Amino acid sequence: MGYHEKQQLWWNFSMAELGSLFRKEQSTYRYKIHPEWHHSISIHWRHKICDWCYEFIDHYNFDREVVGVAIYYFDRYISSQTSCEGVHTKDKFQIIAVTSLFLAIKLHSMSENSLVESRSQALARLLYDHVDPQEIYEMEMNILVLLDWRLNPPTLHQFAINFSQLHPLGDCCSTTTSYLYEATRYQVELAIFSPELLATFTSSVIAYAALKNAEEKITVDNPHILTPDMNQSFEALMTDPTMTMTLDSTAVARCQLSLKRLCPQLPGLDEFSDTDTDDRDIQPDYYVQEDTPDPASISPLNVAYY
Amino acid sequence: MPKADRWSSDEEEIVLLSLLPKPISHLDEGTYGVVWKARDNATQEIVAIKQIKFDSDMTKEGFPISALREIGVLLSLSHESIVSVREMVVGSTPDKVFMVMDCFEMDLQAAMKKGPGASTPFAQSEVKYMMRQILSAMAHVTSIARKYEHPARNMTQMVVTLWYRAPELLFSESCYGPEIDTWSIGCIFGELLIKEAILKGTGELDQIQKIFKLLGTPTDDEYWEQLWSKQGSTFKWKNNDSDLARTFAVNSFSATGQSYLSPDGFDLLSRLLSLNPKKRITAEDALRHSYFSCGVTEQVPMFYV
Repeated sequence: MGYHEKQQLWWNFSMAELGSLFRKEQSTYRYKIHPEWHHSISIHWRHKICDWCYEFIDHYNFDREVVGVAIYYFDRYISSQTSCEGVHTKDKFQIIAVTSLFLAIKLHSMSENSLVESRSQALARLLYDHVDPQEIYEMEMNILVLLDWRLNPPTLHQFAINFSQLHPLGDCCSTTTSYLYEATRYQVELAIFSPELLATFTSSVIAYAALKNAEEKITVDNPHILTPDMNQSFEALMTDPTMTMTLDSTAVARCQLSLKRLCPQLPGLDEFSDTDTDDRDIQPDYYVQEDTPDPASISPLNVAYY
Repeated sequence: MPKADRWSSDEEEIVLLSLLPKPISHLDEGTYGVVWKARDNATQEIVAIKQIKFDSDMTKEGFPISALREIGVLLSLSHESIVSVREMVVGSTPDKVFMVMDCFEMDLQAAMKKGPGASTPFAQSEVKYMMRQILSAMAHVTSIARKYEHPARNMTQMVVTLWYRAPELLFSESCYGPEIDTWSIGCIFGELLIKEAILKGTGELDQIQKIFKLLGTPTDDEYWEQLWSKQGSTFKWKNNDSDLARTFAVNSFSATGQSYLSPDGFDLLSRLLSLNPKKRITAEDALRHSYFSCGVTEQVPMFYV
């Protein structure tokens, strides 16, 4: 299959998938996080849980999208438990977090053959390195029932990859296309750490705002890459009637600002090479600590150690 | 949470959530669990209840992954020709989990082999009715389900039952989409016409040979040349011409036991069974094919009435 044919195939897939993601976001997975939910869990604790999830996922080389899914399960579970006594303990958070990740790995690490073995190892580690496995089995059932067995939310990563795929920069050059996606993905991975952001904006708005920020950064670094025509054609595509919904531009602008507060400085285009796609090249600052051993050399054993 | 006494059999109460040792009506045992037939006491409707199987191997990883994925896909679909999961029910212990689904008396294979009129071919109008159902269900799946991963990722080729597996999958194509399913529908179309699977390979190589024997070897086909050259294949396949027209007689009331097939029907069959996946007709386009708009009117199959 030639390059252009492949590009066209990706484009068609992305259009169809984006339509499907919008529909899911507006129907089955349309929900409001309980307004009081953030009082039930310390922001500090949630941050640690996200941190641990990323480290665990990186260790086993799973797709980082799994963390977004796990945190979605976690937030929804916690959000529904605000009136329940007993959930506000460190132990309880740990079981919910471990089980959410356990469930997310089971459902979202299936597509690649090479990860089948890692999956068993990762699941065993989650089961036996934390608490009594029975507690995880029970919590798994609680989460399944509470989420009404709806386990495939439209994720930030799915929106990010499909928005990037449809962007006219795709026809420009591979470095800028990869940069656009990686910079968008970087921001949405950070967004997962911020419960306020997730509670205020939909996944599509967050991913789109992240993409607009990446666009801005490309323009600052090199004003000649992104032409007004490209910008217009992409905006037109996003408001296409077949897209089933249009993105609220005010919400996108507000979300862009929130993301910039979360991530004041995106890596520059000149620092980026699309030949090196190692995730650790584009990790949040708090991953890079001089005295910390290489994350790939140790196993993130227990969320309670954090 | 639904209550235990909500479902009963025709004869006596079936206390599903505490599971009577003796099944009241045992429909089938699938890969993932036993299926029971029961009556919903709230609506008086007959439903199928599938108990998720918890083997000891499976429970090592908690709730069975295969069942989770099946539930996820079925819950996301809503189409009159696709069995729907009405609700999930959890029993007194975590290993008692049930899917409450619409109940059907038989599947298509049983209808072909055992249903009323099993000894004679389906009428053309019946085949047309079933094909429309299958294609419209597939068009819905394609539009809703995120079954098709992003083509940038390498995907496994171990999908689809061998007899219905598209030729490109047999040649390890890892970049595929909904066209692998329209191939399967083409196989089913042929099967509906002769009431027997049309490509019964005994292994992957035999399956390829049977496909090329029926449809001819793809010569001078850009897609196949590229796929084989990408794989560095030097293997030469025996050149066959397509045998499809001889296998499926058009406009013929022959005594071979085949359903009547119009020229439009044959055209649709050959488009569904296109060896080149890029030229294979999509489910949506198939529904717009003249096979459905011309000729005899569709009719509900006898086994269904």
